Amino acid sequence: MQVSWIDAHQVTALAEGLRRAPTKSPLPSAATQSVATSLVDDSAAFVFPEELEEPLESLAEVIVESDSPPPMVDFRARLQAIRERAVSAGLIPAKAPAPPEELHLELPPFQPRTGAVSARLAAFIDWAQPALVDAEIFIVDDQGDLHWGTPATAGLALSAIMAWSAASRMSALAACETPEPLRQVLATGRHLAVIPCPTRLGIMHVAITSLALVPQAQILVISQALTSAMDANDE
Amino acid sequence: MIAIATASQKGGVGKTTLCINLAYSLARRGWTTLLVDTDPQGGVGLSLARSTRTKQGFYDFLSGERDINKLILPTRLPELQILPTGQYDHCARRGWSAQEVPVRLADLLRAAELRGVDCVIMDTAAGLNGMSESVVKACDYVILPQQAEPLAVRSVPHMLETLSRFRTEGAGVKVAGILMTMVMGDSQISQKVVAELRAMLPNDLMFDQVVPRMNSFLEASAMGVPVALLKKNPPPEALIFDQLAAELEQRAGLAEERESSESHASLLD
Repeated sequence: MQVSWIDAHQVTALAEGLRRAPTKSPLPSAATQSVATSLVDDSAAFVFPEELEEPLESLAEVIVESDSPPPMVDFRARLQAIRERAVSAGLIPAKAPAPPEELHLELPPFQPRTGAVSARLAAFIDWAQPALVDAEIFIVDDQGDLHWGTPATAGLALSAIMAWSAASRMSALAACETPEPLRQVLATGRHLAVIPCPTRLGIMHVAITSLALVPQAQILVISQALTSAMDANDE
Repeated sequence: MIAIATASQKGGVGKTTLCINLAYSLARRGWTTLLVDTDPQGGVGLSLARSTRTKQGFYDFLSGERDINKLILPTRLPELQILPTGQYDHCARRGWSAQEVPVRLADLLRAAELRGVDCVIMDTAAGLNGMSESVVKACDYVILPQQAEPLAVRSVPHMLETLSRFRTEGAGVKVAGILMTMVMGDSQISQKVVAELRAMLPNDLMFDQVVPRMNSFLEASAMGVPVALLKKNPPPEALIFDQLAAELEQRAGLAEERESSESHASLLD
C-alpha cells in the first residue's frame, strides 16, 4: 500500500520538466523584473536587430551607410540606471567629490612702500585685501610670530602653519628650497592657503582663510608681492 | 559563486538545521560561505547566539541599508559568515517595494561575490510564496528538504508544480535535489516514504544522503552550535552534512573550477 498518496505519473512528469536546463540565468532574471532600475539589464540592452544576422560584409555596410545616429539618449538613460543601482547597492560612492570652488581673484600690479616693516606689510595688505573679499589675511614669520592679523581668529590658521612648517623643516628639501604652498580645508569649513615668501628677513608666510580656494595661479603673484614688499630698498 | 536556497511548503522540516550544518561543512571544506537568514523568525541567529536578535541584517539590507559589509557577522571559522534576519518588524513597518525585492536580492548576491564568497546558503520561511519565492527565484539552486512522513511528502507534487511555475516565469533556479529529513530508522512508515519517493523520482533529483531524526540536533540547537561542534571530536552525525556538502559540490559544479586549477598532491611527497 502506498503511503505517500502521490500520483507517480504526475510527479515523474513534473520532475522531468525540472531536470531540463533553465532558459535563463537567475541573477539577470531577478533584475529584469524592474527593468528601468536594474543594475545589469541584459534582457533589453544591446540586443542586436534581426538584420545583423546577415553576413559580416553587409553588416559593415549597414552601419557605415546608416544616417540614423545611435540612440545615445537611450544608452545614457540605461547607464544612468545602472549607476543608480550600483550606488543604491553601495558598490560605488554616491558622488565623485566635486573640485572645490576657487576664488575669482583679480590682483592689480603691486607697488611696494619702503619704511618700517609695519608700513611695508600695510602696503601689501592694502593691495591684497580689496581683492580678497570675505577673506582674512595673516602674516607670520618662520618662528610663528604673528605680524599681521587678529590673534583671536588666527588660532586655527596659526596651528596649521606651524605644523606644516615643522613638517617642512623635517624634509631634506627644506635645507635648500622654499617650502611649497599649502592649501587645505579647516575644521570650520573655510579654505586655508599658506604661501611661503622668501624675504631678506627669512621665510614669511601669508595665510589666507577664505570661503573658496585661492587659485593656484594667484599664489605666485601673492608670494612675489610680499617678497617685494619686504625687500624694497629704502631710498 | 553559487547561491543555494532551501525551501519547503511545510514548516518544521529541518531547513534551518540543514542550513547551519551544511554552511558549516562547506566552510570546513574550504568554501567561503555566507549563510543568509531570510526567515523573519530568525532561526539561524536564534540557533547560534542570543545577541543576533538585536542586530541588523537581511531585512535591513532589503529596506535600504547600503553597506552589506556592516551587516555580515564573522564567525570563529574564518570561511563562514552570517547575515542574520535583522530587524524584520522595524523594516516591515517602514515597508519595501515588492518590485524592488528581486533587484535587492541580486545586489546582495553581487555584493557577496565582491566579498569573495564562494557559496551563499539562504534559509527561507516555510511556503513557496512571498519573500521565499523571491529568494528561491534569485538563487542558482534550491534544496528541497522533505520530512520523511506521509503527510509531509504529499505536498511534493504541489512543490514541484510551484517550481515549474517559477521556471516558466523566467527564474533560472535549478533543483539541487530533494533531501529526506527526520528519517526515523526504526519506523517502517518513514522508511517506506523514502523508498516511494526514490522509486518515483530520478536519482539526480534526490540526494543520496538522508538526515535522520536525532537528539543531537536538538542538543546542538540548545547549545547554539552546528552539530559538528557538539564535542571536541565531531560526532558521527556531523559527517552527514560533510557527505551532503560533498554531494552538493558535485551537483552544483562547485568543485569543477577548483579541480581544474589545483593539482592533486600525492600522499607522501
